[in-house]
Amino acid sequence: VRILIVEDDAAMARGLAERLKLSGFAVDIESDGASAAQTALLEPYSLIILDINLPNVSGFEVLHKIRQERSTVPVMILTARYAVGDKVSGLDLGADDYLSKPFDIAEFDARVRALVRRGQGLPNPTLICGPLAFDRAAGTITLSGRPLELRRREFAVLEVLMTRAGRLVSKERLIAEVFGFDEAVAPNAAELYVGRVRQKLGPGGPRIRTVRGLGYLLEV
Amino acid sequence: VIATWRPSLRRTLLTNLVAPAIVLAMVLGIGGMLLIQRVVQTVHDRLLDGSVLAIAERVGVEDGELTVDLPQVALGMLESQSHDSIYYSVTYLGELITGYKDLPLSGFDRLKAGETGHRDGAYRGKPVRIGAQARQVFGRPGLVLVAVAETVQARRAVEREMLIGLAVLEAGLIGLIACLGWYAVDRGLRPLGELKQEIDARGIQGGPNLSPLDLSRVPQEALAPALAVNSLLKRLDLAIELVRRFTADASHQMRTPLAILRTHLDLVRRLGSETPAGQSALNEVDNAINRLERLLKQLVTLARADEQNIAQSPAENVDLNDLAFNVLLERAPQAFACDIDVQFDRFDGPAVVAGNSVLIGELLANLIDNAIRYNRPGGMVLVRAVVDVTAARIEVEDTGPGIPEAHVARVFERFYRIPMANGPEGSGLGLAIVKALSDRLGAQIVLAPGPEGRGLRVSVSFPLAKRNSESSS
Repeated sequence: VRILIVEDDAAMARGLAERLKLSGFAVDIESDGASAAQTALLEPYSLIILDINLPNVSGFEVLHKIRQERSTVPVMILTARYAVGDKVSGLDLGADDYLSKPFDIAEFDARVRALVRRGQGLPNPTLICGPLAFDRAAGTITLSGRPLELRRREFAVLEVLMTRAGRLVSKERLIAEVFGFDEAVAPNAAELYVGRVRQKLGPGGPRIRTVRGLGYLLEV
Repeated sequence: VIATWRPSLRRTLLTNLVAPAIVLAMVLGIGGMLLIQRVVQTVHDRLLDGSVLAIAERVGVEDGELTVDLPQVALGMLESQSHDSIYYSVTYLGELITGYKDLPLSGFDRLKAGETGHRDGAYRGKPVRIGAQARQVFGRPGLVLVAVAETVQARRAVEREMLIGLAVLEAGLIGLIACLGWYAVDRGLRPLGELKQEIDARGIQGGPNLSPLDLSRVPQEALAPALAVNSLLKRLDLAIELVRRFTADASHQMRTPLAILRTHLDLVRRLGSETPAGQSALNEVDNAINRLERLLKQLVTLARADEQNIAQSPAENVDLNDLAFNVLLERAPQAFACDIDVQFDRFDGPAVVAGNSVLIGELLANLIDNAIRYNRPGGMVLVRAVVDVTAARIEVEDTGPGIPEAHVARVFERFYRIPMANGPEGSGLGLAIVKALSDRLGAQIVLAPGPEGRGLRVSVSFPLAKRNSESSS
């Protein structure tokens, strides 16, 4: 699951990115409003975290552009502005949430999870696919009640497949959701991580079917 | 509480209305009195003339003798008119024919035949009015003088009555003027009372209401002070708005570093400080603290530059050569750490200006700090002292990105930053501080591109110190 951070303060962006990566998200950073609007529309982000005070193009304009293109990606405004008017105009422009700096990290985490969840059309915090249960709040996946020991990428791959359980997920989409821009992606990365996940699910778990030339599908 | 004496509109108005009214009343009174006396005298003299005539018609000649046939009825009629006593006499060439002796008749001997005259006099110890007529009697060469004297009680009584009436009328008039004045002041000042109530009602609850007062009902005469109050309110509102915005901006500037602190501290807690990622998070914490520290220092400097009393401290003589050298020396390590070279061009001779060495030092430090921050690795900061006929200047040149034309007008605004991706962290206060300090010092700032049109050159011109004190340095 991929998140875009649009923030011109490098230190702030680095901190948020690290924090989100720890929670298992793939993260990209944009510091400029103009390019942020383009990137946001090109890649399959599950959430955009948007600062308002950006050089050249303001966060409000970025948001306006995204919504104008009929993108429904959840947007969280994260800014040092605190006036009620800013909050209102942000939400009116189509933001899904608004958080003022400085914020509590736990609250930030919880809001990010909630927005991602809702963006996937799954407001329930626990996602169930047969014997598999994904507790988003705890960030754990259990198989028949036993926690699965998954590395970060494996976790991300299984999460993408679970949120689209029973539907085909293209290889490109899977890669795009799991890896950020600046991460090196091996040509066989998808096969590699899907293979590892299959191993961890074991013979008793649900099957991940490979559809040649198309992608993967988690059977329910 | 005994109030100190203060001018009173009511008192002034009453004094200015009532005093002239009293003077006018006195003039009118005197004039009226004279008039009354004349009228009363004329009327009574006519009555007296009637009596004189009544007697004179009875004067005749009988057997060559002058006789006056005075019926008792006629005399009674004369006396019954008033409580005054009536005396009469008929004389021929000073000889009494009939009536009272010794009536004072001097002055009447010049009357011609048929003429009537009047005079005041005294008879039997009482003031009297005497009327007399000279008459030609047939067969006699001389004139017969008929005189009637009357005491003046009735006249005085009528005069007194009329005078009292006049006085009462005038007193009433003065009283009326005073009352009207009192009422007019009350009525005239009522809008001011309403104005006061409106100001009182403003209160401080929920923040002071500094919107202008409603002047639609303020009388023309009180408009000037009311307008002054409104103008003061406006200026206050502006000043408060400036302070409010400054506070908001300042707190805004602290939010991002605080958020960074929290985020990275959380990372350190999760990753442990021994891991490389934890180490870099700790570095970020360090940087954020430095940022906050710098911001606080700048805010304090700015607040101090804003304080009026610093400018009032007496100007001392400051040699720009020494001061700039010392500030640059202090900042050099910071420049070297960023791979930036520094150079100082000393002016060949004294560069003494009138000012405050602490403030000028702070100003230069901010300029040099800016020149180092907005520069490039391998770049250069050049500080130069220049003296010409009118002023001494410090110029600071850098090899940074410069200031685009479009932003020159705004760079001195507080918290204004030129939008720049990947620019150095900052709060947009550096040049605002320089501006505030130079305003206090009476210095002029000029921004221009650096040599070959690249980078930025900031020149600050200070007024020269007076010559006579220059010799001491």
